[in-house]
Amino acid sequence: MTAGDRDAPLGFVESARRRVAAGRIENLIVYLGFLVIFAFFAVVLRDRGFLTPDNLANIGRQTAMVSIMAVGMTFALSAGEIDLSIGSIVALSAMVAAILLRDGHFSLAIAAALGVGLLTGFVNGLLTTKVRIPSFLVTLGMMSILVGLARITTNLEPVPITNQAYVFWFGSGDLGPIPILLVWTAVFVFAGHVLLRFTPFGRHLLATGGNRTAARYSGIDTDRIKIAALMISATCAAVAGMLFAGRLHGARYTLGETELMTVIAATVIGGTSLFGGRGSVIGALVGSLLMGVLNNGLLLLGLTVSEQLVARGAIIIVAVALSLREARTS
Amino acid sequence: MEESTMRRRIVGAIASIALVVAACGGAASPAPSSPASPSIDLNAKTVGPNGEPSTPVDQIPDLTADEVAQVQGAKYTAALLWAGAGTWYNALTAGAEEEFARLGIEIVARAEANFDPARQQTDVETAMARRPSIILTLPVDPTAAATAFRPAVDAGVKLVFVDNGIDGYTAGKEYVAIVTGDHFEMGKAAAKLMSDAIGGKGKIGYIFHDAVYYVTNNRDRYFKAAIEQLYPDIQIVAEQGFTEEGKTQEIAAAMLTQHPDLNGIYVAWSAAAQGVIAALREAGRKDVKVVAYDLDAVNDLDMARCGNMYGVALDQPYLEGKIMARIAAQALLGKSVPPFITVPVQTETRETIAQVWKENVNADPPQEILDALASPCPS
Amino acid sequence: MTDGRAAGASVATRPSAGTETVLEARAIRKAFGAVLALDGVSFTLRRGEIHGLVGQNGAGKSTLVKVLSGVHQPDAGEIRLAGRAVVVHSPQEARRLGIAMVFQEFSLTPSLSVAENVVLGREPRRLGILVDDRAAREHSRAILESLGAAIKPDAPVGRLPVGAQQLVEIAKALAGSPSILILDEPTASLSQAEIETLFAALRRLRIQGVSMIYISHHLGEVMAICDRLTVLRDGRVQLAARPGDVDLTAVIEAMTGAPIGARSMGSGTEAARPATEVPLLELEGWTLDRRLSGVDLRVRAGEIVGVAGLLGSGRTSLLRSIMGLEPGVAGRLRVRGREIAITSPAAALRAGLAYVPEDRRREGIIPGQSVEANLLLAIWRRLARLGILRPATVSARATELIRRLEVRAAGPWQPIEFLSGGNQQKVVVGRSLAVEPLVLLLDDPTAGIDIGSRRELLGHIRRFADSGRGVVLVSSELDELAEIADRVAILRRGRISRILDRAAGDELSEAAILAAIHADEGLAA
Repeated sequence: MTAGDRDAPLGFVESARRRVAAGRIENLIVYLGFLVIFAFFAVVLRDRGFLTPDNLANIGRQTAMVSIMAVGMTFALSAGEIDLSIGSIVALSAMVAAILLRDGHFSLAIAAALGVGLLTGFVNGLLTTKVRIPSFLVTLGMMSILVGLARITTNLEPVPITNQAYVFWFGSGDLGPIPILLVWTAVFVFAGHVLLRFTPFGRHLLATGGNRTAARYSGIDTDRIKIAALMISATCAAVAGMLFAGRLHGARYTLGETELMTVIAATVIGGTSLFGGRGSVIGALVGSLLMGVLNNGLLLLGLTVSEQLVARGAIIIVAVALSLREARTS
Repeated sequence: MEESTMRRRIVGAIASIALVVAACGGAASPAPSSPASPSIDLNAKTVGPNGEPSTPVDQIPDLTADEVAQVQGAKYTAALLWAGAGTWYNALTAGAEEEFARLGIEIVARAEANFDPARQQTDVETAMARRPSIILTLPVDPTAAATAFRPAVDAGVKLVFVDNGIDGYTAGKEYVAIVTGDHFEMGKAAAKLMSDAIGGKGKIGYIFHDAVYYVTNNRDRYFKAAIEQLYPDIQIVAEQGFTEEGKTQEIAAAMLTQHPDLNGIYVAWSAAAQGVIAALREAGRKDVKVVAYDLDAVNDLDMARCGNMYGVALDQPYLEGKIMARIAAQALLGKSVPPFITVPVQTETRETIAQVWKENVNADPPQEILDALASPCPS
Repeated sequence: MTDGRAAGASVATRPSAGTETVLEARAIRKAFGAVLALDGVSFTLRRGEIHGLVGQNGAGKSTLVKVLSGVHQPDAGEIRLAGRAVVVHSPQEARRLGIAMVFQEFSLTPSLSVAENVVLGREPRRLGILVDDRAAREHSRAILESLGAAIKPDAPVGRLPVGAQQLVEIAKALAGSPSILILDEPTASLSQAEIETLFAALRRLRIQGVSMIYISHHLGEVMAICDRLTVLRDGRVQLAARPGDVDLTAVIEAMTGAPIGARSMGSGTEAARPATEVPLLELEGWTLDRRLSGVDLRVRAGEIVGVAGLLGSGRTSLLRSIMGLEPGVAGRLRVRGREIAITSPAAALRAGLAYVPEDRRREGIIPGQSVEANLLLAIWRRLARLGILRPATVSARATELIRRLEVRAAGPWQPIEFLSGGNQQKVVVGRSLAVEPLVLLLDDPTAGIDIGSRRELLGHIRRFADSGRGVVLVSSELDELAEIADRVAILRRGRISRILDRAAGDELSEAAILAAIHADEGLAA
């Protein structure tokens, strides 16, 4: 990757250290943490089914939606903004898809659900850049509006989905041995990573989050970047909503209610800065997997809900503290 | 450098402690986290919170034509303050609305507390600004509600409760009556459904509500006691509590991983069962049957298509709502009302879906369900 | 005027100026590491006099007053107040000793009223803990009256015009009844009329026996208002005299240490040049509200045009407005003869103009990102093949730029915070050079960086111009302008007052530029 350096071959540690410093690997801690936690559960839970292919596939499926939303959140945070409306977008896009599928409109359902994300992101972006309301407040308000809309459109009743094609491609299908949700995750992570790291757009976005003034002076249209970032985040949430509905064979207005904090935690643990300018899509994926493994392991250990909450919270605080420390000293 | 090394040590220490706690917690408690059940007497009759005997709902008389005219003339008003939202609450509201409309009583305030006692207190205060004559409510927390509803009691508002009572309140004094499904019977009915579902013997998973909430706690406990006492050939091999609905999917998946020979799973309520069914589907386990409570369009569809959902036990929310409205009016007229009214339990399986929807929601089930019911189950 | 009627009125009613020495600094020496800021400075201040302190950047003026006001401790020398030797340990002690400082950047709180600001930190109390608003108002009213300022004590400070805020700032310093008042660049943001009001107030204070040290770059003002003046250069006193006894030329020569030649000090218009040559950049009638007024400027191929002027003359606004960062600008702009309307930095870059901003930390570098990311910020699109950036290409380009600009960094991957200020600045300049612009606009590019990096940067700028491009170089470092500029335009309150052109035979030295800046100031106010 660093073919441009004409130095002698570097040791693994020095090479890794440089990649961290260059922002190519944002954050070593998340990878180490993931390995440590995975290894811990693999040993302690070896008789309780942790390492079975089924369980691992479950973890993959369970984390798919959070991973995809974390990819979107990486873009929003890296651009110096935040999107608190993702949970509600999940609910509304799931509802929209379910209702349209009921009347048999397959393509329209997908287009409309995506449209919910695109439109919401666009409005969020417009209000943030042109009306100058901080994205925190804009998306907070949007969160409330969308959940209200989700409730109204269905009168609080769940909407079942019977369309077999939809349910296969967007939820519980398998391509051979691989769950479709993993394919979706891989696609979004790959696309997100390339977009952020290897395109001018991604570089412009990181610059906008790092120092908006400097970016402007260099000819970057920072308003357009921020709108795009919020649209990406919202659309990822819309896709996640479609996947939730596909997996559960139905949509409910409570979908996505509790995902926001998990997504932000995964993104931040993965090395994305809450203040903008640094972001890692791969890190967000690993952060999401870390939380998924954690949830799964604590459950298999047989802890009560209360015990799980305490343990999970403590470990997240430790992980975030370490990752912030890493970011500051590198 | 000193400072950050220090910090690193502290952080490392916390991490180790957290993991140790996790490991210890897991190792030390394979024991159930729900209370011991053999002490429950399955033959006990349901009684009210202060020991009041229960009155079956069919013994509540209707109002006479004169009484109806009297109520209509008085132009009373009502407020509906529920604990949550969803299909069940919609049915409750529908029943109450129909009865109120008949009696010429206007509903001036509606609220839903999202299971937050503080929110319910605000709801009461706000509703009182409209000076309703009647409040129909499901108190979120029997202790906190005592303070929350005091302003209503002091103002002489007629309070009618569904499912939960309020600590320290007496029927006839602070409130009119409690209308409730019979939770003990519902638990037992769910146990019978489970037995029917898995053929009388086998291993089941028990996914219960891990929070203090009178309704679910009673149902869960009675289900467990019934299984243990009445169905000795059925064993509960896995137990896990939850508070977030979304978690049940992971819980079911974990249960299957650890007990591949599971025959059935019990879930504390219907919306939470949706995740369980999704997990079973992903694992390809068509054979595992699920039992829960309450009507739900998505789960009933699965039932109609002969999927994992076997059946649910229900109270009758539509009827409950109607009766609540009725007895409130009777109280306003000064008539005496029994303190604790129970509604009989119903069960719903594939055979009875259409009938139950008709009775409870007063409408046909959604078209998808009817279509699915039209084709028979593959045997 | 002086007032004994209100409770707590504290304006001194001392006899007016005499020859009594109220403050004396003897052989003050202060070094910061290897840098000797004050080298045996001696300085006397008489009662009721306004004493001007002048000198170039880095001459030691602010260090001297910081020593006097307790911010720094001198390494050697002594300070005497009314004949008694004192040690001023801290700013609080300075205030107690009767020395008050009026800062260049206001220390006012815009949301509070005038009275609240004036008494801040010494609020009159009632019953020991409650603030006595009425006493505060009376106190401030008295002080403001003594300054001859018609400002209401209840007015919210944020709404007052700058000149009035300056007077409130002075009133705040006077609230402690100091005998010595130090004013640092008090007229930097004031209009002519506001300066007159300020001077009237200062004269009143003089009559009341307050002694003042007046620091300013505006030599004309110093000559007008001060009773005596002291010139510092390189940490030493070069000249101490009365304005009536010296002329501006002598003062400037004392400030720069070089005599001003007899040759002309520039004319008001551009020298004639072959008409066939189309300038790379041309401004005609360039105007921006109150900041720029009818500026004409031409930059030709191979030329470095310096822009010099005092703070507030419009230098930064000039560059920003060319780059499309000031929407209200009017006038014509031509690049290579073609007239363009520039509405955004992106448009300016497309037209071939690139900008190096003044504040490296806030506007220049992207903290937390690598040298590579900072260098290539403006050219990502160019580096992409089919929309994708290949790491090899990116690294190669970054490495090439690092080498070209002699940036001292461990590698393109290094986070930019780890570079010294000078190397960071090279990266910022390198970012603009990477775009390969026609004209490079630089705003004080060598401010705050080490001497080695300075020389290297100046070299790069000169080489850039020599390759057939143009440069507009705004700078306060007059010696650097003297060294590499072909022409220097003097900006004065938004207008170009003169142009020094080497090709036309004008002297382009530090002293000459300084003189040109202060020429025409005459005896203002």
